Amino acid sequence: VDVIMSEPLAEDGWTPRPELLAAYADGELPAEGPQAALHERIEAWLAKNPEVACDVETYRQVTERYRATAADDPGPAAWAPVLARLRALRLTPGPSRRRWSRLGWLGAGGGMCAAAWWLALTLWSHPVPQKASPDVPLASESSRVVVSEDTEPEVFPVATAAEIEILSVRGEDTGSVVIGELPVEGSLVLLEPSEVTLTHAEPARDNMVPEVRRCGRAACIWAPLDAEREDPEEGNWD
Amino acid sequence: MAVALASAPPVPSDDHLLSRLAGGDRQALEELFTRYRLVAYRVAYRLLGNEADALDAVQDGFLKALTHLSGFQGRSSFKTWLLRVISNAALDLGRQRGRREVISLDVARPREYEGDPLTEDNASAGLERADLRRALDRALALLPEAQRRTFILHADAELSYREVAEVLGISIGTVMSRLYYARQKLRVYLNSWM
Repeated sequence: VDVIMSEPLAEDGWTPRPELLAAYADGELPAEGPQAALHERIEAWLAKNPEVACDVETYRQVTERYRATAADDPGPAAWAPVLARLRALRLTPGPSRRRWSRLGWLGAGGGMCAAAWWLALTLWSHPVPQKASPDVPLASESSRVVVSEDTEPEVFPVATAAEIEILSVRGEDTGSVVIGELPVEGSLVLLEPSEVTLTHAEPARDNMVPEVRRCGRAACIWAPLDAEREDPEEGNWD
Repeated sequence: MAVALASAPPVPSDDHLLSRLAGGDRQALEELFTRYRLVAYRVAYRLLGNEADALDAVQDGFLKALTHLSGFQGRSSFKTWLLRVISNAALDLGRQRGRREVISLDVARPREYEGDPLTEDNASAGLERADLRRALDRALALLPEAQRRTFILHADAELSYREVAEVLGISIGTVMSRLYYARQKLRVYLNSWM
């Protein structure tokens, strides 16, 4: 709010944008606090422009009348089966608020280095045979999956796309970021990296996929996170 | 005679309830549900247009939220996080089922004015409210989904611009723009009511 609603306060010909007037009508520019100067300036401007002041009042009325028609509580009988379903839920472990300290990361990094060093020493002292057993082809020799006759093949559960809902995406878990809204409807339009300039991205939030803007008719595009690091400034998709 | 005044127990914060929930306290689950079920329902109702679908969406949303609590790390409020899950569940349900036409029975039968006797004035106000709700629902259905969702989160869930931006993962400038244009359109549709 602070950035978006900071307006030049000096010039005489200043006219607030209609979006700003709507924000004023919504009480987003309180008379006290960091937006106080802007609040005061808008009030002064509205005093000189009564016809627009009527519009602002209409904004308020639209919201007020809308809120007057909010859905009523469906009542205890309607909530009972919902609550019963929730009661039957097996709860997963609760949220973990603990974040790794710098010391923790250093410790983990040190541990990984030690493990890598130990592995290197082990391989050096016990080199892997260059030729594999005839029964077991090297992965590079064949992409076939070889299953010995006396073992049952392991069955991996497979979920379809419809059974998966992405609730959160973390930067360290993926090399790309979803732009747009899921589910994808219609054909998926992909752009070459050279066709996309990422000039603005919102910071990651809890379980919130960063959304930039829809790109023309593209339902969804995947952009490498590296692009985000290159130019994180405000702007548009082209 | 000495009278001991029992002060009301303090209302536990969301964080406190979540901590209790993490420890397996089922009562905390019910308190969180009771605290947010109505706002969740109102958002879902506006997005879906009828009571049955809205209740299903609230149930789906709460189930998803509670089974994925580990994904909530407290960087935003629980309310905004929950409303994102709920509104996603409502939109998914709407896409699966197709947003039904507004059930006229829901609209024509204003349920509450709890405690008020049924007077002629109340009945008249109820009918007017029902007509207005019907008109608003039609007008909402004509808005682009992004504008509709933004407006509903602001007007029904009474979220601030910043909170709406957090829920939708968009900038506050985009929230401002969407709200302005949504309201402009609603204003035109509701001209006869203003």
